Amino acid sequence: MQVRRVRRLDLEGRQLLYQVLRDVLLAVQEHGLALLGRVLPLELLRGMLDQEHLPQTRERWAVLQQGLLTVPALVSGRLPAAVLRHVGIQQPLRALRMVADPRMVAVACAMAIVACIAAGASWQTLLLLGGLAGYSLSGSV
Amino acid sequence: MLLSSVRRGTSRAGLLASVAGGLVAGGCVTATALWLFSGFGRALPVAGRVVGLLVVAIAAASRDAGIDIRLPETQRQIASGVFDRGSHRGLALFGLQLGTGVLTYTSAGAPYVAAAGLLLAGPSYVGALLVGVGFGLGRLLVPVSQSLGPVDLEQWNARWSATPWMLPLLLLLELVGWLWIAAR
Repeated sequence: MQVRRVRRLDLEGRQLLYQVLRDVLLAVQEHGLALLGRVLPLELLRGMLDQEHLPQTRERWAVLQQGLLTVPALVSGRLPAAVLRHVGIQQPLRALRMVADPRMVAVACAMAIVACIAAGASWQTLLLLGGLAGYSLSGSV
Repeated sequence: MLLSSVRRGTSRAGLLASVAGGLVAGGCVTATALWLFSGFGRALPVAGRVVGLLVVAIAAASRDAGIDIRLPETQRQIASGVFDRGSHRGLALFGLQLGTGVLTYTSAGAPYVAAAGLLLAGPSYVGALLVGVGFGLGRLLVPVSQSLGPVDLEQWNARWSATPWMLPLLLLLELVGWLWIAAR
């Protein structure tokens, strides 16, 4: 009985992780486009990308275009903050439910710290490092 | 668990705010104290900081693995008398003591790496405060999540115990982060 319950929770945990990952990717697309729009007029960039000699299918190119547009925001360090805002504030209950399973927190922490370091986002990294140290003491609650 | 030990009739949000304020303030106090001594760490070359962080991380990981290595730790519970001062004030005082991370047991090695990082990597004062705020919020996560739904401490402890790679992973992440900060 106990084993069955743990397996069911594992499945729920995995589903929750997939949902959060999907939200993060959506936030990356959304905020990446918005942030770049402040730097470079999107119409100009889209016009450059829609030239006839570029890839055939519009759908495939749109995906690549969105991926490319997220890079400057990621490098600037603003994207991790935007992702955290999207996941943590727009869906606070979902973010808090992750805490119920320590494995979810470990995976989320690993992703967040790697993303912040890759983006050179030092203040977000410091906040996360503090949070991680505090959370590691939760086994004694 | 935490919130059920105080009197009924007070708002849950207010109680959470009290303990959150205490935890964050406690984290900031310790971070400030460590930051005041971080000038010594800044005088070291990068290689010295890296070696220092690695030594502390290895000692902390060994302790997590059950090896008898003594690291600084206050071996007592926070006195329950703090709750005699009323729900809000008691929780704030409890959070303050818990948030310092030095007035009660330290059950994991990652905070030692964080302390070493603050001393050796020498972030700015604002950066040190961010670590303190993060520490308080990190300690708050589990009580908050448990206060939102039915509390099942046994299940929580069972899950934590059934995940032996958690503490090493958290410590490794902490080390990687601080090495990155120290090398900048």
